[in-house]
Amino acid sequence: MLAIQYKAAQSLDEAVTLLATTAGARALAGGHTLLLEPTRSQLGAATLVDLGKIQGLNDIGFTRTGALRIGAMTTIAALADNADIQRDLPALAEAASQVGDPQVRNWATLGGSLADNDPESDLTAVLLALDAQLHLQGPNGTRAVAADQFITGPRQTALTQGELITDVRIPIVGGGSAYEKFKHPATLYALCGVAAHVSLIDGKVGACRVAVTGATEYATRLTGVEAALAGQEPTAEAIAAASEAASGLAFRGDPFGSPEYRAHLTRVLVQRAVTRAVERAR
Amino acid sequence: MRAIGSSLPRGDAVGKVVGATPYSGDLSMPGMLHAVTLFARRPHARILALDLGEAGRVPGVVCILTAADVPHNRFGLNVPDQPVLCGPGDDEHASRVRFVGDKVAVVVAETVEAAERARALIRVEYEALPVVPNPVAARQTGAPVLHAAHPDNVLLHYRVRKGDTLAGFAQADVVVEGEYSVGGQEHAFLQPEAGLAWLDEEGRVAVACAGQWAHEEQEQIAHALRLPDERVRVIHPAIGGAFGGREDISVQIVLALAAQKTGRPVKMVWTREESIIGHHKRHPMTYRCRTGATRDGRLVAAEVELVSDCGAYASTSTKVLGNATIMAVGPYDIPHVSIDAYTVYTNNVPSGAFRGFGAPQSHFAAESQMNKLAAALGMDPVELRLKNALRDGSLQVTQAPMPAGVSMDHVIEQCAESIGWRRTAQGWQRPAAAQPDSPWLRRGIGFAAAFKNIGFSFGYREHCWATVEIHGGGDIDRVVVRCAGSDVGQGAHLAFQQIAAEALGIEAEKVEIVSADTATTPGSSGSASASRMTFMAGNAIRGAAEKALAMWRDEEDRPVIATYEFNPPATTPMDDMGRSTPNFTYGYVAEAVEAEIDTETGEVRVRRVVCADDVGRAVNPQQVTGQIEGAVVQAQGWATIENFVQRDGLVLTPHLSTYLIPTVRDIPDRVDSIIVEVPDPLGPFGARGMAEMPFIPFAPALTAALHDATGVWFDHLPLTPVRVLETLDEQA
Ligand SMILES: Cc1cc2nc3c(=O)[nH]c(=O)nc-3n(C[C@H](O)[C@H](O)[C@H](O)COP(=O)(O)OP(=O)(O)OC[C@H]3O[C@@H](n4cnc5c(N)ncnc54)[C@H](O)[C@@H]3O)c2cc1C
Repeated sequence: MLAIQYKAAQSLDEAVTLLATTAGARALAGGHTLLLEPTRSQLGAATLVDLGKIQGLNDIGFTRTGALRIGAMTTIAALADNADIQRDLPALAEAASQVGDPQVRNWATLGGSLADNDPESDLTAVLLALDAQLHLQGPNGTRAVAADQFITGPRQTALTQGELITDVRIPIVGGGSAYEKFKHPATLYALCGVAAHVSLIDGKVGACRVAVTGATEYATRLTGVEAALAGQEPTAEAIAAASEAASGLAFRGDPFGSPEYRAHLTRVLVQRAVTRAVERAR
Repeated sequence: MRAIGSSLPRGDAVGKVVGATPYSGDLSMPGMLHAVTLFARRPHARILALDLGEAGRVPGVVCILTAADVPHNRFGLNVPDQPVLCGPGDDEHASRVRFVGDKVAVVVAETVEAAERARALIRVEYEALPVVPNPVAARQTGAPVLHAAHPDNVLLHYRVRKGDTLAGFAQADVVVEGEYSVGGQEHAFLQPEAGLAWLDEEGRVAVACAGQWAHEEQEQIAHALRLPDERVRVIHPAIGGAFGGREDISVQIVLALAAQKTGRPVKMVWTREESIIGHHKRHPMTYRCRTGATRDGRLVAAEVELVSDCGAYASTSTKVLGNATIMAVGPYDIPHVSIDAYTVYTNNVPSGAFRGFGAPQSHFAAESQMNKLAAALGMDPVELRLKNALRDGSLQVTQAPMPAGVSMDHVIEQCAESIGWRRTAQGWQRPAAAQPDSPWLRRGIGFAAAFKNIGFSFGYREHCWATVEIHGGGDIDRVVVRCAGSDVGQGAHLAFQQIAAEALGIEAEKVEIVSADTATTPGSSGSASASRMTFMAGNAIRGAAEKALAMWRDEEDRPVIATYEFNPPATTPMDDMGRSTPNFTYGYVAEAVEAEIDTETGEVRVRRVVCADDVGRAVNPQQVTGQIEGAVVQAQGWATIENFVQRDGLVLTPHLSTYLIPTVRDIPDRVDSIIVEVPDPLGPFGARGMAEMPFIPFAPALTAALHDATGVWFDHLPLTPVRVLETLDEQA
């Protein structure tokens, strides 16, 4: 039998305090990862601290410095539907619209997805490519962590005990972005997903960030690809050549896709994502 | 309004949709016990000892059944070669387990939990035996012998010699050769195996379960329990799909035994995993083919060697092999044919009945050959098919003439025209698929045709029984039809109702169907399989209805009751040259597929399917369309994502998370069902069987579409993305 306690926090401070002071406390957002755990008997005797009643955690808006600020409790459906995101951060809208199914997207939240950091999550790769900053609040105050530093390993993040993601900030720096996904046939998660952001200077690739998810142990920047593209004219040949640099990684395998197949898909999706990002950057 | 030809709604639909209909797993009785099965979960081993001590002491355990409890420890639909329970004893045959789903013990307890706890405490001492993983290994000298009666592990070899293939190939201007392989398939019906057994008010052992042929199950239970048939009663409540997967016994015999032993009702429900390892699969098969034609596209000779993986027990392998044999060159008239077909025992999950029953495998090979031949001749594939299609009186490979009512050419033309084939002065011409912008996406259109027997073949004494009771005074108030035929979800009972109403000239609502209970429908109807239920039961019900109607008019007594047994024309088994009259009638179907392939990821998407199926007469058009769409999707699964993987006898895909079936996101964007109605001279009101046909040509039509898209032939199923990429690379 599971003995689960439930508490609805009214403010971030209360949530942080509850999480810090209650043994076995877990934050509850959309519940789409958390509530699957009881069947795996991992939840045990937990206290769930519901973040759903806290005001302001699901706002989307621009900061004074022009970054897009997205509250942690924003649902994935809201990400997909938001006009600012569709216009300025199409990779994020594309990825969000391909998460699971409508029921999942209507409940699952950005914060929950990032805290979960599933190896096949779509959003992690996108936030890496878009150079997002995660804002956290914990017992020791607030801090900002770059997506690169936030993801530390498979299902591992920089979050410390009792710490919450409050919002995510993504700089709007021009250029173009795109997300390409090969859905896992059994789960619809990413068997392989590639996010790319490219800006062009005089027709050549200036800043460029490319990240992969699903194919590797956890979402990772493809720095070799980025380096190969930098300064190049983004012709089909140059992009194809750069995709070859998506190698030397530890690729995952399962009955639906061997490590070799995932490596192959990574190269294919790098080409497609970069090509579309370049088109949008023009 | 006529009863036949209208899409009357299903009486059982609402109950099933809202979850009110009780399936066998939903049944309960006071004082009921629960049973669980201990499966061997190893492919080949001898059971040296069985220790039930600790298990028997678990509180709540009432009894544990083992091999020693089974009066006659053999069963099987065609060949009784399967132990009910495997275990040590005098019977060396039953002391061995031959596949992962062999059963070792059944624990009967007051609760499921107690039964499961006890099952975990049963100690079985196994001696592992070398595993026979596939037919090639099984036929090597020195391979372990799986059944003493078949020292070479070959259960059956069929040999067909028609004409003189040497002379035939000498006339050929073009010869194509091909090797093909197809995988197994899991039925994945909605409802896993379940049943409830008890001793009824007349002291019979009653078993309520999901099956396809109540009387055959009754016979097999009685045989194993050494009881006269009438001491066993089989009832089919609502059945959650079958597709052939319920032709074999699953829970029935052990449940009957448990009820007999304990005197109490006993229920058992298999989990999905138990269902997947516990019941038979579609036969994996391999083919080597040669086909020859003259320059003008006349088929002159064909040679086929096919091997089917029978798995651990015979199940219906011999019958499936017969079908695969007579369809190994497709629905064409070829003067010189030589076929060798083998079905071979292995330590895999037994292969058995599955929608199409050998026809999908053989048509994949035969129709792929035709598509390659068309390419080699530079001839349109529809043109080539029409030149050679079977017609009334054409000689089959068994040298018997085709039964009357052959509509192959008609069906091919209807299908081809519907997807855009054009008749030109030079003959038929394939439409070009519109290509998308992305260069890695390619689209193509492919075509295939098929035929398939309706009813049991090769000398089986086909028959079907029905009784019709007419109640009322001057007018008919109410009609009761008794016919054992099972409604496995396909809607057979509504078809029965409509046929009875048509024969009697009344509204279908006045007809009540009493069915699938050996106590109330004493005559057998045969199985809900082989696309035969509407055809056979329809004829029996029509016969009984017409007899009853004559009595109604001539006699004073009310109600009137008439019984009729329908017997179609006799068939005969194959001799050593394959000569026979294999079947009394066939169904005809053609399919065109438009598919898109991602040449970089290997993904295949089916955009459109056009299926023209000659159903003779659509008793209920909506149900016909439902069967066509369902069959197309099931065939798409088999051809693409359904990948039943066994390695060294172990099932690597025992869950629906590893064995994938199509979901709403995989199915074709569009399926056009074209109902062709060329009456079957033997069918009730002209109806033919149809439920298997739309499955059969799908796979070769798909691979033809992929060839049209890429120029590459795909000869091995299933077409997982990885296999698609590998095939593209090999032929690049
Ligand atoms: C059927 C299904 C299909 C799916 N398909 C996809 C897919 O295609 N692609 C994909 O990327 N994902 C997919 N997912 C995963 C889904 O996106 C995540 O389950 C979801 O985003 C998690 O968010 P949640 O709000 O439900 O989190 P919860 O389940 O409530 O929480 C998840 C974890 O995050 C913690 N947490 C929640 N909010 C915060 C916060 N603000 N700060 C710190 N920690 C927090 C919780 O304590 C918990 O540990 C799928 C899930 C399901 C059930």
